[in-house]
Amino acid sequence: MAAGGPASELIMFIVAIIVAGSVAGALAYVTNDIAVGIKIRGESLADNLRSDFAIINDPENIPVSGTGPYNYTFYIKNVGKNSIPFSSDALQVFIDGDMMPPSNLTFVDVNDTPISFLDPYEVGKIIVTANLSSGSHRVMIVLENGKVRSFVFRIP
Amino acid sequence: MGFSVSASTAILFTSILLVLSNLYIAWENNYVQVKDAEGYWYDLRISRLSTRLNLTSYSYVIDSNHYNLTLTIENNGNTVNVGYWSGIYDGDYVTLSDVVDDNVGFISSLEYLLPGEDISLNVTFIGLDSSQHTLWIFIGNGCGLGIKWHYNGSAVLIDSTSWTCPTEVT
Repeated sequence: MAAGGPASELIMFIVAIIVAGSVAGALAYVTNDIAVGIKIRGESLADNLRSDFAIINDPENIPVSGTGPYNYTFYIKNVGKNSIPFSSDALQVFIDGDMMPPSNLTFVDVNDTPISFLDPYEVGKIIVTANLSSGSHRVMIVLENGKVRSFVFRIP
Repeated sequence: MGFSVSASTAILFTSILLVLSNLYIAWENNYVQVKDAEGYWYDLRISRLSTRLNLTSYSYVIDSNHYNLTLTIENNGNTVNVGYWSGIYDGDYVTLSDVVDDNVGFISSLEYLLPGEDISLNVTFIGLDSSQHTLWIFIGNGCGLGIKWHYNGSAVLIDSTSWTCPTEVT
């Protein structure tokens, strides 16, 4: 029994250290996970607040070309602080509630050069291939961060 | 037994301190970033509320087969950066810096338009028919001034002016 005392004390000590270390490790892992989550959420929220754009078409005169289906040109001006992704992967276009498939969208700058980002104060064009009847329509453009702008226009 | 308790307590206490400091740093970075972005968001909204351009006067010169129109636009709001302006003339994008490339442009170059100042814009080679023309001038914060006019056979008449700013739902 005299030799069992220190041995059991040692076992108790090792077990206590292992348990405390495991708890500390788990805490560090969970905390790191939470910290990364806070960072991502903060960046996303800040990006949303810094992003803004405007659809600057003349609502009564949307440029149209082609013989059907027609190509309608919508001008997008980046009025935010950050560059905004300008491609069919990051941006959705809805006309009268219907989502336009990416194959019907072309993203170019005002000189018709394909671009993938729109810098602050830059104007880009989204050319939408569609068949729209005469009358009023609503185009809604959604950025990847959820920023939405809609625009009512009239086709003669 | 006593030493085991002390050692494990020390380990747990230290790890809790590290956890709290880690979370605090993450929260503070996030808070600063979001507050900065929020400040920009408010500034943009305030700038839209306190920006206003108005058409104060216009003049025209009628030629044999076209006419040229000069529009004078006054800033009745905060100072605006003219370099960030964009134009839409009869539906198509135009640059406003040079009249030669697309028949629409400023008469004089100006970097900023201060409150109360005005700037003149030329629209040239407009066909001599009675069709209505529209020019939209959008400034850096997305707000825009729209001007409609037509030629009635003997004079150029301004039909209407309008003012718009971007909103989520139009």
